[in-house]
Amino acid sequence: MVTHHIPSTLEETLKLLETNLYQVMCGGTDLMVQSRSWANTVPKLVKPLVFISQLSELNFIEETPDYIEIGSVTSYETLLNSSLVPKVLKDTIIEIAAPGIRHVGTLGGNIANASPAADAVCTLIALDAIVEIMSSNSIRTEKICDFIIGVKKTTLKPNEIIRSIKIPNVEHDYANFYKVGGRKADAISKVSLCVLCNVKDNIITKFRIAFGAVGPKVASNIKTDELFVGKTIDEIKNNIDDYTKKYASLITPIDDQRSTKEYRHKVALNMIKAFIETL
Amino acid sequence: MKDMMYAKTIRSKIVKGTIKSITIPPLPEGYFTVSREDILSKNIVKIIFEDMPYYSTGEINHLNEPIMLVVGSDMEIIKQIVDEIKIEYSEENGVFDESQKTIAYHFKKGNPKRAFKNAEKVIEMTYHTGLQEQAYIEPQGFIVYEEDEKVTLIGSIQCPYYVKNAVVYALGCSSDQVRVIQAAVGGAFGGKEEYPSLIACQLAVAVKKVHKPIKLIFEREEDILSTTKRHPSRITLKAAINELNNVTSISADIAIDGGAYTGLSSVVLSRAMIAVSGAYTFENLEVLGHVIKTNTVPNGAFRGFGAPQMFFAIEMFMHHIAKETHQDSFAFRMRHIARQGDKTSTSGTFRDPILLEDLIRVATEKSKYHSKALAYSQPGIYKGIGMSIFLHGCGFTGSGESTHIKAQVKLLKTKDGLVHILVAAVDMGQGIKTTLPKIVSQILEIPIERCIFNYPDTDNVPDSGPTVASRTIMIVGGLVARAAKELKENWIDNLEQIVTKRYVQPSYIKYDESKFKGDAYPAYSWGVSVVEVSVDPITYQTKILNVVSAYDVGKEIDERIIQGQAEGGIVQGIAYGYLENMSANKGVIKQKNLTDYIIPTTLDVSKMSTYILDNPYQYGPFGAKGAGELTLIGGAPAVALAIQMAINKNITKIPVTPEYVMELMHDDD
Repeated sequence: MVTHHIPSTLEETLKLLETNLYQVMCGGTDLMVQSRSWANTVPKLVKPLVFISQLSELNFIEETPDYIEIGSVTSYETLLNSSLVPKVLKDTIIEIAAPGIRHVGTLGGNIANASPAADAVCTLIALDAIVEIMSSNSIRTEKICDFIIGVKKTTLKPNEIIRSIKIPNVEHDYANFYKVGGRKADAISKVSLCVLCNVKDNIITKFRIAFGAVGPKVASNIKTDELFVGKTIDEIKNNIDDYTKKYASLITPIDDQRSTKEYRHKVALNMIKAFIETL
Repeated sequence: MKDMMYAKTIRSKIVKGTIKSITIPPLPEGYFTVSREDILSKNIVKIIFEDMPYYSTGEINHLNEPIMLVVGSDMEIIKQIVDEIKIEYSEENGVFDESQKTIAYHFKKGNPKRAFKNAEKVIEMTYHTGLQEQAYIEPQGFIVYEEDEKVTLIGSIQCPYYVKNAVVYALGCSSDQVRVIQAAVGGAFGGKEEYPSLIACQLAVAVKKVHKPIKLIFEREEDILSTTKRHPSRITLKAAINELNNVTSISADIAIDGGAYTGLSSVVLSRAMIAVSGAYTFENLEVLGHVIKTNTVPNGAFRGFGAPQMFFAIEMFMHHIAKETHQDSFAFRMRHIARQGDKTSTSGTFRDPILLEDLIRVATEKSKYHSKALAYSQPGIYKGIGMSIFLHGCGFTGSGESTHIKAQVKLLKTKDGLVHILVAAVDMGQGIKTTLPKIVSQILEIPIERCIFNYPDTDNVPDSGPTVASRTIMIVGGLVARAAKELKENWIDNLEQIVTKRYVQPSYIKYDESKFKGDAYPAYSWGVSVVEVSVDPITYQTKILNVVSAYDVGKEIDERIIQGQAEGGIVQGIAYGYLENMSANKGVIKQKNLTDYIIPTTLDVSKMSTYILDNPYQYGPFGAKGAGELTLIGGAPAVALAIQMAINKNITKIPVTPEYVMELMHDDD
């Protein structure tokens, strides 16, 4: 059998995690699939479980002057119905899986699972979102792009939990999420892209891109983004191929059962170019 | 069920080689392994070609080949035993090209040699089609139990008597010792035609060893990785063109990949070869076909049965010829369409009226085909519209119905006036639970509630043949209708009455199977599909914008059921053409679950319009012909032609994935 705990408070949860024995499970939409076993038998879980989806302390959406803060167990469906959540994140969430999954899936889970194809992670990294991480005796914050270190790898320690996701409270003139999947709904991204851009007096004041499914983790590079800042739209449009190609080295996809590296690379660049053309 | 045991299959982990040793841990009491050593009679799945064992002989020919079952009462303990069983192999290199040919067929019509000699121009193209997975709702599975000596199997199946005959053969027992009952089936698409016989044989041997009921249900991944799929094909077509820019002869070289065992592949090949003319008439034909053997999972029956591959190739080819000879593709195709009285590809005769011109008129008008084709031929629009013209021979190929199947149906009227329809045909979503009672109720002029159709049980129903080949309504329904007429004439109240009818081939049908000569099918259903698409030049993705189809299925028994068949069929056919992508790398299938093997959702489909034209067939019930497979066949060529127009490049393979579209669009970079 699988041993499990359903703690009723965050404090109790963190105390359990101090033993370093447990696997945290929230919606389970990734974990249950990864642990699947012969139907009607016990899933292949290596550690006993601590469920956290019931923790009301982690289920919230709040606005502060600097951030929109989202509790890690807040479901996608709740986020879709909130007026505080940035539109680009909602545009992303609506592309994730199907309604059934979106009722239990969470941002915390999407980040902790650290899939390079995670759609919400792509948008959150573009938004420069940070995670607040708690253990029974500490609290720390980390940028999501640093928190995720590789395929399914994060800096989360066994005694820690993601408490919340903080999205900088900034307005964008352009904030778009593009997903290319095998079909129009309920598909894992072959390649995805979130692009944010501010323009003042025809000059780019902010440019930020994150790519999904093109490398071991969601890819972004602030240095490349900054090459656009201060340039006029005309300058970029007149040299659109050169500007697009600046991202080429960041896009290092592989061939797999869903697509090819050539396709992912080409489409990622095409999408940047198509975005620039909308400016 | 009391004392239920469970079974899990141990499968090969190599693609080709031999088993060197199997180490089985000491088994707890009540746990068993079942393998070829336990076989009571033959280790062959009785299909058409007897080459597939149901427990590995020790020679491995594909990945995930079944070696043994582990049987016991606790699934967790079974899992543990499965993990502890160690198998050592001596591995060999698999073969994945066309070098191993198992079946070779050849036929001719007219004098192709002369036509090619006199040709003004010869055009040649090669086409490829990929694997397609049936993706039925529930995976394969059976429950088996023994009562006295008798073995009963309940399963998700299309052909109760195929299963029964295979088990009788495997056990070497008498026919009354095996009973097969159909469980509810949520779609089969051919995937439950011959494959279930393999599991049934394994389980029949197991129940004879264990003497307790056993349940074996595949996992979805296990199902995708180990069961039959649509045959990939390579089709090379050559056309002789005369001075009028007409095709005088087609020469075809067809290879279908049967996988590791032949199974039904020879029959799939025949249907593909016979479909060589598409819905056109060519005076001269030379057709060569092979089944090739590769070390991949065996391929088998799938809705359309060889025809979808051939129709994709011939429709693309006709379009290509028109382009190469600088003529309007529509007019060119219209000049070649089959007409009543024409000789079929196998030199039989299209005896019945052919409504192709009407079907084409309806489909092109309703889809605005001509004006859109003109508008979309401009560059930079990235939209296209494609039309496919197709037919499907109803029932078994050739004299299969009279020589192999010999269908029998029975109506049993009880004293209280209920009429039981006793046939072996299963309802697998295609609606015969409605249509067969509707036929009987209409003829007997009794309420439909008094016409009973239950899931077949071989102890109660005669062998009316398998639920395949678009034959259920036309052949089985036709016999049921004749039985109902006889019952009506002899109806006596308050008396039990039984009427039995056997299939008699219409006397005009003559077919020589070895020479592919004569009437390959008693009747044909016809269709035209028009698919309109846009292609995104940024992501190379295809969007379906509109689908219009027109069909001649003789006569609809039930309008809404035909609508369901039409929409489901064309979606499956279009998806075969552009969306569903399955590939194997050296015998290893890459898309092993429904996350990675993408099938369409409602969001991938556009508005679909279906038009039905009546053209009653004299031997079908109320004039009905086949409809189950027809609606799939035009999907792939129509969508491929539409994409071809949108990107203005030659498409020679399906599925037309975004990756392939990208390759084509940048081939001149």
